[in-house]
Amino acid sequence: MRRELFALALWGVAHAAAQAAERIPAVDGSPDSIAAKDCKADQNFEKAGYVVRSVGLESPFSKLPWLSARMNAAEQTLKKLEGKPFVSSEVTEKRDELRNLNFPPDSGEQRVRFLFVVTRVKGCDGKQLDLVYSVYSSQILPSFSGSIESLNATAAKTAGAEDVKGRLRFTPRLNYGSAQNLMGGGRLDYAPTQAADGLVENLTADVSNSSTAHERSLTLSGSKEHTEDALARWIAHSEWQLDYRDELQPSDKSKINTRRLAAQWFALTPPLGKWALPVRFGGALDSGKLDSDFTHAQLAPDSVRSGSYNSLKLFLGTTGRRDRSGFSASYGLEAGMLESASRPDWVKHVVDLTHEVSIPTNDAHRPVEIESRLTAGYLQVKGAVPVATRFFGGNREDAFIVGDSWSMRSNPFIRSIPSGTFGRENGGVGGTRFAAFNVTVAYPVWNRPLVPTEVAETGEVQDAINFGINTAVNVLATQTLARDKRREPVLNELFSGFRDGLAALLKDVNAARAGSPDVASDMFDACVSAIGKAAKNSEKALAPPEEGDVEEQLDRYVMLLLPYTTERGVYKPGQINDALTACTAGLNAQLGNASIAQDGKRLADMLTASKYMQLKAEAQRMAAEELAPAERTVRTLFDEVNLLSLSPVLMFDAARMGPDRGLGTRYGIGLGLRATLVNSVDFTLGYVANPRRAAGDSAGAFFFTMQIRDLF
Amino acid sequence: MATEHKSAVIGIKVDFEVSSKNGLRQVLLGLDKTVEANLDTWSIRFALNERDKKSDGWTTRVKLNVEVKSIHNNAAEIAAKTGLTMEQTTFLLTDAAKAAKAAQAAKDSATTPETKASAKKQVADSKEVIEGVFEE
Repeated sequence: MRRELFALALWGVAHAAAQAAERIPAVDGSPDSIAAKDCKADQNFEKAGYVVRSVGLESPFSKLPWLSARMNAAEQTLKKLEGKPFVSSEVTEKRDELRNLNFPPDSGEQRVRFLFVVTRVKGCDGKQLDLVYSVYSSQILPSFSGSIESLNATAAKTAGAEDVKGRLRFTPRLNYGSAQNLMGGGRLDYAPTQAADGLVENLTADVSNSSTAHERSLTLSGSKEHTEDALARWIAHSEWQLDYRDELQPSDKSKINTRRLAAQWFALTPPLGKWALPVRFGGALDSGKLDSDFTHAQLAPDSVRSGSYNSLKLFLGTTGRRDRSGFSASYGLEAGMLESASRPDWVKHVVDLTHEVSIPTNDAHRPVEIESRLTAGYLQVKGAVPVATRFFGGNREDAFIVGDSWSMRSNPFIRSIPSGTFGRENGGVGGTRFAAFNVTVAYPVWNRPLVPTEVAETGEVQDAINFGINTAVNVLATQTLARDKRREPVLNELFSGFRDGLAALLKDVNAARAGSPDVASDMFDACVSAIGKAAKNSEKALAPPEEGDVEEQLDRYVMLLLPYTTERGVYKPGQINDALTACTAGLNAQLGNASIAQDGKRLADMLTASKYMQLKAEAQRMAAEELAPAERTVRTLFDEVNLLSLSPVLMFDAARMGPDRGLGTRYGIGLGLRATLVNSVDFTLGYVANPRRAAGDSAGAFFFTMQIRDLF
Repeated sequence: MATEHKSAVIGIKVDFEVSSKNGLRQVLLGLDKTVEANLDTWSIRFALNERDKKSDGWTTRVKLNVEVKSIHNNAAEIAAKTGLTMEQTTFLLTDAAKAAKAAQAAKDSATTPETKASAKKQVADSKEVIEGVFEE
């Protein structure tokens, strides 16, 4: 069997390589068909009479089936430039047309979308050149981008390229584990084109089968971004699932069959507290049947082979991403009872902590990635429980929560022991408590960047990213400040203070003028003029708007009266400061008038201690925090994500199950190889040794998983 | 050892959209740079879309594509590196949007040669207003 599996694994690698060869667009470092010479951007290709030899369109997601038709059509349009003289306006016109690709598609929920089109020339030789248009885009849902699950999402999902409606998506899968044998299947997703807001967004059918096991599920799901509805203050994002599942899992020489219907809802709050972490919480109602073919002799006294059951699950947790790491902490509680019972027969507690960190090396695309996970569970048996509710461990993960958005493991995961066979000791199969710790370390030894280094490292591209991110922050901050209910009273108070303070200053200046004939009249005139301008606008700011609304009027007079710094770093003092400069720094330096000095100080204090400035700073901070996940996503896509990578993987597991029947902590130590072709194939192959074995255990477990994405 | 030949970037186009939290307002900003014979040309695009409810399509309230005058290119280049400031975005969302809306309304309602000429001037003036975002 292993020989066949090894052959299959080799086929997988060969297939991935073939896919790579077929799908990777030739960008940098690839041999050009014609001996190419360096092109220089400051050349006048049009005046020099260059002819366009070839035109290419590149995008990391161009091969996604639902985008390829649009990309192909766009490329055909671009190719009309081939064989023609290089005309700058025509090249720019074609670039502008690419904006109409609507790529990625507008999902209606994403708050930030970016589209970059980079035009390059290469192979400048013999008055001919090759023209390349590169398209990079991203759309970001900030509430999802802040979770650890987003770290493991595909680049296409991260970039929003998977937000597509009205088409079927099929994801084949092939796994091998020694308990379940070779298991094949796939997942079919359909997102209706016309979906009510957050109601039904996805229908998923997931089926896998092997000679000893099967997994079948049908899921209806929906999600909603809560923006300004009644829940928005407390909930940023919510999801629901209705999931029917039928699983047959081997456990040594016996099998466990689960058939149940689950209705689940969970939500994510906005970032809270000093650490700006969201809280996740939710619940699920399960109803179904748990069945097994264990003999009575194998069962613990408080367990039954099978039974219909109902249970309530509650879960609570948080998740976050910081620079190059992500983490999550989840707690789950399940109270369940057999159909015949009148009170809970069992209460299950599960704690799952995950941490992932990417340690940079000299090559940003080859970080050392360390994933660690600590999971623990405790089962309180109050009556009789179906044996399937007890803990069974091995190299297969059981999820506590339905769906991909919140990953929470609920069993001891140890890759050296076949699925379901950890916890099968006689005298009571299945554990009532466990703790498991897993570490996986991977380092890409070979890779190809998603965005060619030649493009990503271009200063102008980095500038364009900065432009997009910083402007997005300021647009959001402007909108946040405009919506802030404290803004209008704060500004009215400020403008009233200016008006009264300027009136007092004018009065004292006029009084001083009468008693100071030696001081130059033009200094008084300059002061009075500056006060007049500022006072007039302070008065206007407080009056009912002549046109437009109050918000627009406030904006206008904020710009006139208050100081700010332009994008060039130029300080614009504003009219209050102009008055202070003319009257206190200028005029009063001659007069030394205490009243004028006091009036000036009061106005200056209003400026520096202005509550408005605090509101503005708060709005900018909130906008920056809101867009921080979006910024990380964009920078990661450009700077770190690989189109193709090959990574050796080190694995270490330690797990302990209770009641302990003498073996204590079990270990798994292994090596593997992971090949990832973005959007196409994920392939992992490995062997994990089992150094502390129970009677009948094998020396370790060989495994591989292969998932081919987006078959059509 | 073979020489690695590099390509040259001759144009960058960045578009970005930010939607308001309630999903009823969308700001589109774009910045283009074209390099030709050592001469960089910058242009900015600004659009404000609105809708009454999220299930509706967007209605463009303001749309302006302006090639930035050469005198302002330096300011545009700085903005391209650092982004627009909060004061600039406030200006675009208020005064510039208002001028553009008024110009569009005048253009839409113009029927006689006189009103069409006036609307044309108003559109030109509104472009001047949005260009003002890069003025000191």
